[in-house]
Amino acid sequence: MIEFLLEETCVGCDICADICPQDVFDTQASGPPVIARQEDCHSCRQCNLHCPVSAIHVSLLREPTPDLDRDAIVASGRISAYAEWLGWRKGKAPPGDKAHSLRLRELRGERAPDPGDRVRRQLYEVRDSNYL
Amino acid sequence: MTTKRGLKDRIADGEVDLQLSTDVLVIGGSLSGLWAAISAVQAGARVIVAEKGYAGTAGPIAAGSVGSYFIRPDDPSHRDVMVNARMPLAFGLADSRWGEIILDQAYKNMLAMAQWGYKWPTTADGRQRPGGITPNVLIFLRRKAEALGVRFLDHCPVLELLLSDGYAAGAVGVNRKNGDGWSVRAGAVIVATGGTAFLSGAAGTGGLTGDGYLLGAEAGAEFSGMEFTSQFHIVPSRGALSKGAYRGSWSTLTDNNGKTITLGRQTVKAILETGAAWDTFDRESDPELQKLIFSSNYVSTQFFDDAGIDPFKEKYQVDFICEGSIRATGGLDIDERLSTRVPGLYASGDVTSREKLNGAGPPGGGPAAAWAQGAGYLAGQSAAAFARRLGSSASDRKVEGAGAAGLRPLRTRRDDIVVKDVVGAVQEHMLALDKNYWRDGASLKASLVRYGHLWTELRDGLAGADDADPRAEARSVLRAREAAALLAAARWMNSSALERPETRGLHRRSDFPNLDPNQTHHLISGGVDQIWVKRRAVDPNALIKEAAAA
Repeated sequence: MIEFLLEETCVGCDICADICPQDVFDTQASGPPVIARQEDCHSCRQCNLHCPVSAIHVSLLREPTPDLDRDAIVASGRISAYAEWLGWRKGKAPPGDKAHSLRLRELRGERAPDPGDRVRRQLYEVRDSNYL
Repeated sequence: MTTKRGLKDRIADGEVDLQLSTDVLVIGGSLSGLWAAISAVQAGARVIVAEKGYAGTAGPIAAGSVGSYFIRPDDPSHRDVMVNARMPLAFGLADSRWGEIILDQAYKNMLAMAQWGYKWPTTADGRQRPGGITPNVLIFLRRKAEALGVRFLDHCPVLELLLSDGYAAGAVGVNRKNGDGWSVRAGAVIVATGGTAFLSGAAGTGGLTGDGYLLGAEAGAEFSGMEFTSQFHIVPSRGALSKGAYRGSWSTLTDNNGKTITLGRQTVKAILETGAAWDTFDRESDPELQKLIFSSNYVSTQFFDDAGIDPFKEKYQVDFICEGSIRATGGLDIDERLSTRVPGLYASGDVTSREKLNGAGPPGGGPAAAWAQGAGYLAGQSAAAFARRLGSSASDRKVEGAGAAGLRPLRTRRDDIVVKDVVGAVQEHMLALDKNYWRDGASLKASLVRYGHLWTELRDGLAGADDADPRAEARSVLRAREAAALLAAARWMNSSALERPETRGLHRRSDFPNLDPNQTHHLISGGVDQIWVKRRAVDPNALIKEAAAA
């Protein structure tokens, strides 16, 4: 759920309003867009990704959080954490993806599936074929 | 000076503010629609994509990510496992040759992306691992499609298909940014609008109201496997993203009494019978690996930051949330060219029936994402070829709007039909674990009686409201149509579910908890005001026959 747009940080590019698939924002003749239909937000975080100045916070909660500490979310870096995780910079997507889950598997190892689960077991055994 | 008439009346009378023509119109701009558009434009067609939201950010993948099946055609053992070893999970309703066709095409798509410059995740020793479909993939495909000359109509939901002598000939919709009506005349139309989660709150599903089912059925298309649409998935209570992969060998699920349970039916049982289910990440004690687990899955674990929960230290409650027909199986019935039975009307992705690929099950993102890519590409090729055969005169055809419920009421528009209440009535059944995860004959029958009456009311009196604000007016016209689509989807699904008194794959009946070998057949459904369901025998040679006929 979209929680807030930092008006003092916003540069007024209106990209969030342009790319929001749920039409949550209204643009204004001047100044930052307004979160006009918060209830229509479906937590995709695309506005957060596309914002060139990380001025929008979207939580992964289905309802808005009352009394949210905006300063703490900005100060802790949480406002840009998802975008950084996906490799976005200044509102632009990288032409590719990081290898988060591959790293986890390499470092932690993988538990083999139950031998009785024939399909998962076979998938596990051929998983190395999934590389180029 | 004349005052402009209300949008709903202008649309109903075929008056629009913007008229375009193209060879191929793609409705829906997520993974499958984008691939359909790229494929059609590469085949030489002029292509327009109309998307309710924004093509490249709309749909559930844009809100999370999904691992697609990726099969190397030159590795026989890999291929055998992915195609043949999974056949038992299809419960007799799939065709392994379809697996090969679709998965080979998806492989080519993902390889093409690498050639276009997309950097798939790389292992420590430098090998690429294609298959992870993320928001980055969707944006990349959008930009690629733009570069190839595809035209995008963003924020342009389709309200109805245009038909010409029974052929699909375009679509009409509204632009929700300015309230204008628009129409696109096309030689062929591809529906790629996704499934529906009945607005359960699952991330990325807010635009998925089953529009494509209604568009298709009004034009005369049929459905297959609409009973295999009862997909639910684990989500932290209060959480939005129902992506299960954030849990793994590091977590333990328990019921409300502390008894360890497995993910799936046992989780649902725990919620229904003990009052709650809980999860905790208690099987990894190394702080460094805990950090890695958290950071590797931040697409999902952001929830714990937002909720202020430390899953390594405490248990947190989980729900099973409705995903409906998203990454499930049932949908528009299509042939090997991805054509519906309506000439010129193609479909791909979650809106289609995926029974050919994985039968009654299993659900999941892997097959769904491979299908979205492979079927999308094949649909684009087929539609481009169809449009080419029609030639440029296709846009001069005399056309008629096919839209009815929620758009062209049979009687006077009624103010007292509240869209929210219609959606609420649909959700009451479709979101409920004890009605839709576990179905039963009595509640299916009761819902169908109620939905039948509701449908008659909608058909008679539902339409959007006039409004001085053109954007508010466009929203109202759209919401009325979406409510009709949601109700219609529930009727096809529940009618099909009632006609399958057994439990098979994604279709579970508490009154018939076992698989019945005598029901190894497809259920085909259709109709709009009068819904019908009929059996179709499983034909192991269907693909060969279809190919010979073509």
